[in-house]
Amino acid sequence: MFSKKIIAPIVLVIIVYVVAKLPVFPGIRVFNLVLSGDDVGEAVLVSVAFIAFTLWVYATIPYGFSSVFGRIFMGIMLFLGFEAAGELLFFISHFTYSLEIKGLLHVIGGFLFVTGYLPLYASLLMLLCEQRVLLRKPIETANVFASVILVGLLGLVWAYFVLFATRFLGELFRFYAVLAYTLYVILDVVALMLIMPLVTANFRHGILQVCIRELMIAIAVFAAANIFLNFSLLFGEKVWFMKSLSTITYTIAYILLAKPSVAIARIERLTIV
Amino acid sequence: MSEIYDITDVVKKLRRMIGRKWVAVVRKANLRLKVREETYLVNGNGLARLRITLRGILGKEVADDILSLAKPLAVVKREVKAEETVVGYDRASIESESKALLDPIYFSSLLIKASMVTVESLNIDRFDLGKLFECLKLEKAETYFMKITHETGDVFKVIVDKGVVKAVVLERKEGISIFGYAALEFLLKLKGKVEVLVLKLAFEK
Repeated sequence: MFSKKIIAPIVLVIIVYVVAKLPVFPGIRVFNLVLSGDDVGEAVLVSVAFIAFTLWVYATIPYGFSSVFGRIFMGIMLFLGFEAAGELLFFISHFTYSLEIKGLLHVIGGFLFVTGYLPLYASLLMLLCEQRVLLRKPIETANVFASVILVGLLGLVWAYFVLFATRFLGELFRFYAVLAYTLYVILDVVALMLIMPLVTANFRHGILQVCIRELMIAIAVFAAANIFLNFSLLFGEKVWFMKSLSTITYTIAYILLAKPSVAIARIERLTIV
Repeated sequence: MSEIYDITDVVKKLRRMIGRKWVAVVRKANLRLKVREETYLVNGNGLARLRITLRGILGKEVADDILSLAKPLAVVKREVKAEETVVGYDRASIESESKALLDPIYFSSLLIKASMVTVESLNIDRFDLGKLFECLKLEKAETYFMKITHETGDVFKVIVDKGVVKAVVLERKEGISIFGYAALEFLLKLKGKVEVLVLKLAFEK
């Protein structure tokens, strides 16, 4: 999973963020806009998201939209498409001074973020249905039980922090922002609940199964990164490094999501040892 | 010998699973698919290559499960079909008996007690002992000496015992004598106008 091809872009992204966040970083001037360190970081995030989406389009088309795995991959592709579009709208909103336009971009972007989870869930449910092809043995009930409890704990921790924040720091948090972050966390927790039993099961050794396992892990990382991002957005304005750290993990999650698409697109040219 | 398999169901299953990617998989397996009326046919070696490729992509169990849908159609025999036997001959004795036939003393001793059966002029497309027996009304249980003179002047001396050629000698017009299996090959290629003299040989018990 951690080959040179994957480590190189991750290291590159981290270096870009570190350089961009340095106090001496002067900012980049593009079309009369001055990009700060955070803007550069988000630009990299949007670019990586669109690259991941493009790679998945390239991977999905040969499978068609009527085959089992074609539909599964289409779900992932649509998910990435919605997420990338949402990221782009949020990124653009940084450069508008009109509050109405900024608000509109946030609403549409947020809607795209939430909508993206529908094809993702469809794909995950299809993968669960096709577990006979993917796994050596059917998913064990103990795995399901442990996964739900483990992932549910994340939700409980979130609920505790939100209750804590709204009870004692109420005047510092906007109600709708907390509501939106909570919605994203719930969506991620559901995704993790669907993924964890599959990820922890014993996969077969075909190239397709190996790719799908990598994809599952990448989605799990993405969901965890998204939960972390929402934590950081809740408290990030108070702790400067949390926002940067969450953006880095989010970008790494997109890189991990993009990786199996290359293997899936060229599956007939690969050999497994 | 090679087997032919109908992999139509395998292709359908692959198409249902991985869509149009099945074409790339088949191409990777270097298959020569024969498509006849929506039926995909492949030989045994092709099926083995497809099995290896699918095992790499989908894992051993899933690949074997999918390939269990392949139906063996027929066994194609590649052996050359044996020519219809028109002349029965004794491979073991034909060389020694034919050589003996070259000996004039032996030959004359054979003819001492021989009785004339028939002399016929025939036009033949190829030498067929069974048809010759029918045509000349000879009995398969007997032993005959045949002198076949071709229109070119070549002479075949043949001993047939119970319907089986025991000895052959070819005396060419030029004076060359050929005997045994080599002479038999010339006899089998014989065609055109021939004169056949048949003597019935009698042996003392």
